[in-house]
Amino acid sequence: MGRSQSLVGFGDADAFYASAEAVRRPWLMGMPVGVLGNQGACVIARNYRMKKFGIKVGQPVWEAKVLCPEGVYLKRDFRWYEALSRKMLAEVREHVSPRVEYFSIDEFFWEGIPLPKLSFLETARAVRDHIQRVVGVPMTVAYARTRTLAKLFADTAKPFGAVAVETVDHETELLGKLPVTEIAGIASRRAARLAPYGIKSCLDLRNAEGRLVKTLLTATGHDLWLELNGTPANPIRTNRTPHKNIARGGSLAGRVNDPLSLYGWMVRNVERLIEELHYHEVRTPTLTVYVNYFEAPSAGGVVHLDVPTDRFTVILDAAKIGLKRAWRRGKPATHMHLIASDLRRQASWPQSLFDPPDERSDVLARVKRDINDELGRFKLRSGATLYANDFYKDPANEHDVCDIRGKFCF
Amino acid sequence: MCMGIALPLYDLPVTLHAVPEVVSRIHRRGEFDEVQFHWWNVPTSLPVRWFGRVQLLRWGSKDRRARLPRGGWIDEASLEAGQLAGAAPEEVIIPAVLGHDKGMWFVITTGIRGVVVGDAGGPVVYMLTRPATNYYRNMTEQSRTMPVLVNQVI
Repeated sequence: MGRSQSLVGFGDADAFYASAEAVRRPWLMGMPVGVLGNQGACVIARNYRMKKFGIKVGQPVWEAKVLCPEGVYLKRDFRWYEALSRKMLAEVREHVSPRVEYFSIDEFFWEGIPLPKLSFLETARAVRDHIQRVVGVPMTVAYARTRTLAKLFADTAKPFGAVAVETVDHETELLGKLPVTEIAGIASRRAARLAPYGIKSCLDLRNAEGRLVKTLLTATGHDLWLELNGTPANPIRTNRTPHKNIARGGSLAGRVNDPLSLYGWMVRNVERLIEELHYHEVRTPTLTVYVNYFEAPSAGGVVHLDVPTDRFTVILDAAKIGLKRAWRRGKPATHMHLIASDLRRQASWPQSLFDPPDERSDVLARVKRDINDELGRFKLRSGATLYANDFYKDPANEHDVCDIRGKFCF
Repeated sequence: MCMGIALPLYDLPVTLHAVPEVVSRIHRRGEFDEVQFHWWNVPTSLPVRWFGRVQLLRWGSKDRRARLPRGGWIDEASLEAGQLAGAAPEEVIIPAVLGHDKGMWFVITTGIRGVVVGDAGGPVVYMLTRPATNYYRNMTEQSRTMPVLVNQVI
């Protein structure tokens, strides 16, 4: 294969949360830094210096501090990480390619054309250096024929790497060294399905029969196979595809036994869910309340509504029914999710006798939204959330990673 | 209970850099020298922003016979309720970038709130504390109290 005119570019910020903290606190440079998750109990990100001590993502902090007593720990701040993430996105869009996909908070794909008078490798270095200089975050940049290849090769060049893989020979050399589990979407279970066929490395998967791969890994796996062979199966998506479902929820900041506290959390999640429904201008006809329990099986309650809605009172009533179905008396709950599914856009909002105009509710919702837009999120909220009031005292809880809009995944 | 703090050496006035109490507490972490102040250090002291400059003051009291409260911490609510009222407490900021609690170093944005009270032996600083948040408790293996931080919630 000769030189490509257009490859896929991929940028992945190195140890992003920890690097983002060092941007506003330069004295953290060179220190082992760990960022703690929503409850302060687990390391959700660490820089390379801390990684050398054997600390893994998800490791409890009490284990981490034994492994790395000199380590420095911080509370996550998704508002700050979003600010830097959007700055990186804007820089790539303005200086590298107008066609950029906001894949996750720290990963971007773009249509890769070399910068004027530069090779792809020189372009990768230039992009990496530009982001470091302007945003302050170290990034690894890769160019390859497809998204899957670019992402894989970026991982081989981390941290602060720049790589351009333009020939099949170069691809073959690198893919032979990578276990198949390095591919996003192939974890141990899928790898176990491939192993009996002698497919252990990424190169083995590329060289396998396409039909076999489809049988073993379904159409999604077949797309990965195509991409490994240099055929783009997934285009660069410059706008997020419309949501089919929207979910809000997460940890309950501990074990919740008290039904009223659980109810307070549910109302909080209803308010967060409605924010998203309004933002995306969609309504839902189906609501699911899903609760995880400590040392007890999870449970869910599905509620079908007469008509798609985004009204607080209607969704709250449905959520109460869903929670009643999902509630296990006497079992401490640890997580809760509210899922609005089968979302309908404005054109398909049916008129129905069961959905008469409710001007009072609409005005109340608008006033609530306006006040919170003006004064800050959750400044005006349902009184029922007082049952979970401790959580609101901490402003860091106002903004979660799933509240960052426009990206495709976390 | 926050038992120690650290701050970069460059955050201390140059006049303090050669003071033995500082020199003996310099540690290298990352790319900068930092000075650590622990409750177990002798003499027990903390940097305090007081009268417009950072100076080292005695941290609390370990003397059972002293008139001052024993320990290095005062509960914020007790202070507001009048504890130390007779000693004319003065609110101060303890500059710090790191706090140390049960072996865990955590980041501090601006500093910790404290109070200075007068004593025959000179001014003494106490760290203000409040009941720990759930987050802080998880982070520090169930510490019951946390320092009162300046414009920061953990």
